Amino acid sequence: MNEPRIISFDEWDSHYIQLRDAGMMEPSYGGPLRRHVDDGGDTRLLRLRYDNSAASLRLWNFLLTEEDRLRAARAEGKKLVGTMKDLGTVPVMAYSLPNLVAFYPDGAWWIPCVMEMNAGLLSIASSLGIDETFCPVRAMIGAFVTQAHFPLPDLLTCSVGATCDDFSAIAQRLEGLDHPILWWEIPSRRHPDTNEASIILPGGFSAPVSQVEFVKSELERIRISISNLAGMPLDDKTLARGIRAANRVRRILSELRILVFTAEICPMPALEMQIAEMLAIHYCSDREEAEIVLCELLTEVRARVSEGVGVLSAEAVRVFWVNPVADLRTMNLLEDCGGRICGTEYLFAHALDEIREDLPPMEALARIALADPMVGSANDRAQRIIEDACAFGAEAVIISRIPGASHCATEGEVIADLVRSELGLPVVEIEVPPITDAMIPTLRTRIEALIETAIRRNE
Amino acid sequence: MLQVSKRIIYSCPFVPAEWIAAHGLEPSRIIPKMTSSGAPNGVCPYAQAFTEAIAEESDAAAIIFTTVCDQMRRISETAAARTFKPIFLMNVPHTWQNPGAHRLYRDELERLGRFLEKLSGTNPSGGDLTGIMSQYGEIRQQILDSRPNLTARQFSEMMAAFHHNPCCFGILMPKPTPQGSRNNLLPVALIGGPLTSEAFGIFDLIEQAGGYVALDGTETGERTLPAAFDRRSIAILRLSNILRLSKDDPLGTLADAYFGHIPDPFRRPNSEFFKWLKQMIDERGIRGIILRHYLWCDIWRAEAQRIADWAGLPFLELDAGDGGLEPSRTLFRLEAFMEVITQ
Amino acid sequence: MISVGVDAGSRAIKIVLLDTQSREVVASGVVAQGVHSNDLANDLLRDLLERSGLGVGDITRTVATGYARNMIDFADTTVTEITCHARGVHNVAPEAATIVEIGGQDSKLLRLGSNGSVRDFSMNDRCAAGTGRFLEVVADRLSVPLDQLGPMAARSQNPASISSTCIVFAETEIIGLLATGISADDIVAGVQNSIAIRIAAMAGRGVAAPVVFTGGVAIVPGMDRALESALGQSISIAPNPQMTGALGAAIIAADKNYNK
Repeated sequence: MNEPRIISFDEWDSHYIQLRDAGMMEPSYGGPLRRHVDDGGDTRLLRLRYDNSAASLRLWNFLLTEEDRLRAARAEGKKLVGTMKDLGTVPVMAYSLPNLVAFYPDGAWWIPCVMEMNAGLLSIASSLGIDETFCPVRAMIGAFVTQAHFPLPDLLTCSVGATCDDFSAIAQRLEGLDHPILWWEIPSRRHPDTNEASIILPGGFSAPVSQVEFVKSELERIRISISNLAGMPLDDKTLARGIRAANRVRRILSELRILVFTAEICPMPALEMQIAEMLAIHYCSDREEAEIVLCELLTEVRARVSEGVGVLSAEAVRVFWVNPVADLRTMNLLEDCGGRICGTEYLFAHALDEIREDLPPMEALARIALADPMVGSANDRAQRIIEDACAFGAEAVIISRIPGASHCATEGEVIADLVRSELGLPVVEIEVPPITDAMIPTLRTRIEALIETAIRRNE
Repeated sequence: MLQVSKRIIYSCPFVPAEWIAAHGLEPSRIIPKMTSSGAPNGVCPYAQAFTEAIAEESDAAAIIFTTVCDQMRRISETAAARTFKPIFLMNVPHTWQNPGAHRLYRDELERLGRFLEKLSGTNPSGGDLTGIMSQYGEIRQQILDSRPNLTARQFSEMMAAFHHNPCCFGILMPKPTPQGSRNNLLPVALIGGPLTSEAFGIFDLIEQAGGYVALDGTETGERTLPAAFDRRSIAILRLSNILRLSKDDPLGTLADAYFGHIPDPFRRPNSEFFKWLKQMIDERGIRGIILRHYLWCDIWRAEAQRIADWAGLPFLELDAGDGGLEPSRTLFRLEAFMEVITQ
Repeated sequence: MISVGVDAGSRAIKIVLLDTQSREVVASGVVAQGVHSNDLANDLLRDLLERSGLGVGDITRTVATGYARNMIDFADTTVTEITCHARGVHNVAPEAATIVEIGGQDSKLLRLGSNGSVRDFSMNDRCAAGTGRFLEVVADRLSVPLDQLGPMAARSQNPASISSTCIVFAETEIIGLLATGISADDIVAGVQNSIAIRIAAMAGRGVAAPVVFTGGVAIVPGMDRALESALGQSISIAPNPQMTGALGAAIIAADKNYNK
């Protein structure tokens, strides 16, 4: 095992050669990190810092070659399903059938960061009236216009109802630009009334049976469309097989998270962990390969933990992170400031939970869909955050506000108040746009102050 | 009519006033005042205004929120702590093209009924409900019929007054405007979200600039009226419910009139809104469209450019920001807009 | 006989005297705006008439525009600067299909019909980050005169990215950029780009060419290039861009058929 370290982009050049010369096995999409800057214009990579393992390199290469896989799938005659907003339900259905590939157009929200605005996606969105007051996911509409980052899907689905207005509005504009959408309803999850039959959902939330039944009926509509697209039925047996495969990925991720978040010395940086978690939603357009990539990362982490080595000092303050960041550099910043990740809630905690295999598959999927932290109350979400932060031994919490996102306007305060009152932990709310360069001093001050506060509390 | 005992406040047009009144409660769709302190960053100024308004409504027995807008849905969570009143969050489906969405709306009305029953102790009969549907339907029709004789502001205020207190609404016809007073004014459509109390001044500003609102497509205006109930059908429905002759479903009729009719851009897809707008533009001879939206209102703001492109008419976007309606800046835009229409 | 156009703007009062028959500009002048707009406009008009050998009796009609247009008591009528800029620019650049006007307090984008009439307009007077005010703020923060901003932007190799929509936060970003060692040249270029991007956002898709740039900010070197880049269109600066509003008002005054 190579000594774990966080290295710069430039260091990766020589490190890559060393690893290769030492016999590193590379997949077809492998190669040095620099090729994504030279060939793909992913200039943000120049400013990031990385874990130095071969497993992490594979993770990055897998992430940054998704477009190639989608185009290859199209060339092979596979059908593409763009699953918008829904995080971790429809992709499970799509990947159950051999000739479908699902992807997540919302993922375009990182393109302005990775390409440092050079793709012009936000400008295109602005020119369509979707300006900075909307969530950075507005980059997605630009990606549909340019068709430069993913091929147009054969079927586009989007969940609406108890979702954020930004997304719903942006998706509607997309439909107005002649990209037909199969809309499906996800109702606002509520607590069951007295005497109302209820179900405990993954994550510990409760919901009335009637809501689960409703979501199931909505997913049935998706099932029909997916079957029609694939030209073969998505029967329960096939779907159950797909759920088992999805659970394999979720189990790997679960072990990875537990190991990384609870290890005495942090074995894997926050940035690589964020990317690893994202794979659970959509598999970067290849579920089987995603499993292999995560397995390799898990193997690396197991080895590091068993040897008691890692990438940060043992004194790093354990921070629980709420919401994904539009600028990946922010995750580096946390570690620069003396923190480490020890728990996350990136708005898709339900996509990390295992899907019940002992239930009829559509019932199990409906339960997972309804366990989405976004469709419930901020109180519910805060409770899950509190439980996880407690379980992982968090010493502080960062709530990363997504600029323009309708849910962030009020949710952060609710979560912060509950975390403070129930756990007594220091909390800070920050806002992270796609490029933070000009804000780094401000962000650094906030994060350092949080870390200092946590340290003082421990003294 | 049932005796009114408790006031239930709300802001969303998808909450049927008839259903509340049938439970012996007083429905009240309130018109908040724009807050002077401004909304926190990212918070829709209307949602903020509503939040502050409900805290001042001391006589309200309960507050109903809906899921039509994400910010209002989320405010419902903190409202209980602010007001110490029972809160009901009603799921209003955003989709509408499949029977499941209609069923969900109808089921939510039944759940709302159970909530209201706890407050009033009244479980209304079908006859009670149809009686109120018939009464409210007639008042709405009277208001609509009065439109030609009222100024645009009077018409919209009358509509708002009815929504605010439909149980005790009496038609007090404002003085008709002098004949021909609109002759030199340009007919425009005003569309957008709900109005706050001071925002009604926009009707005057539009007239000052040389136009008049021939179509009030705001959430407070005629756009959000439920479908007119067919008098004869309602009468038959009522009779059969009173005599217990049939199992016809007045709540279903009510649900259809609201959920199946109100055109709004939050719906997915929102094609029905465009269909309605096209029809009204043709019917009323609209020469220009004014969209008034709130800062951070994603639903309307995202559609602005599409409406402008689609309509092919002069189009003006007015941003109702934290400071509320700022007359001088608004008037400037309106004057320029009228110049554009006349060129 | 002459027609008079008065543009009582937020920063300056501009007046154009136009020969009603020939539509030739007889005289024009600018005076800084002040508390008593009407007095300032009267003084300027008197001065222009005097210099041109004309008297009040030679005036057929006066049209006032600009934010203080209603304060001009000698105007026969008022017309908004949206219409006046369109008329003024159409007169000097009849081919213009789109006009970008950036002033000290607001910015506007006008789409014109074939006869120079306004088909549609967008306007920003809420967010100072899309106006000339932003340039003043950055000049102040960097302690450089306004007229130096153009050359500084021209020297920039790597314009900084300014993401804030609010000028107050943008100012904080500028401080952050300075703290991280970004050059003043790159910051100025970043600010110019930021203004241009906001104009492009206001413009929406498919800006019709030719695009003409007018208003006070049009004379700031480098802004035209920033706008060209943001709009993806080549643009031209209107001759005497500060005066197009007053010129348009004078043309409207001369146009007997124009009915307010």
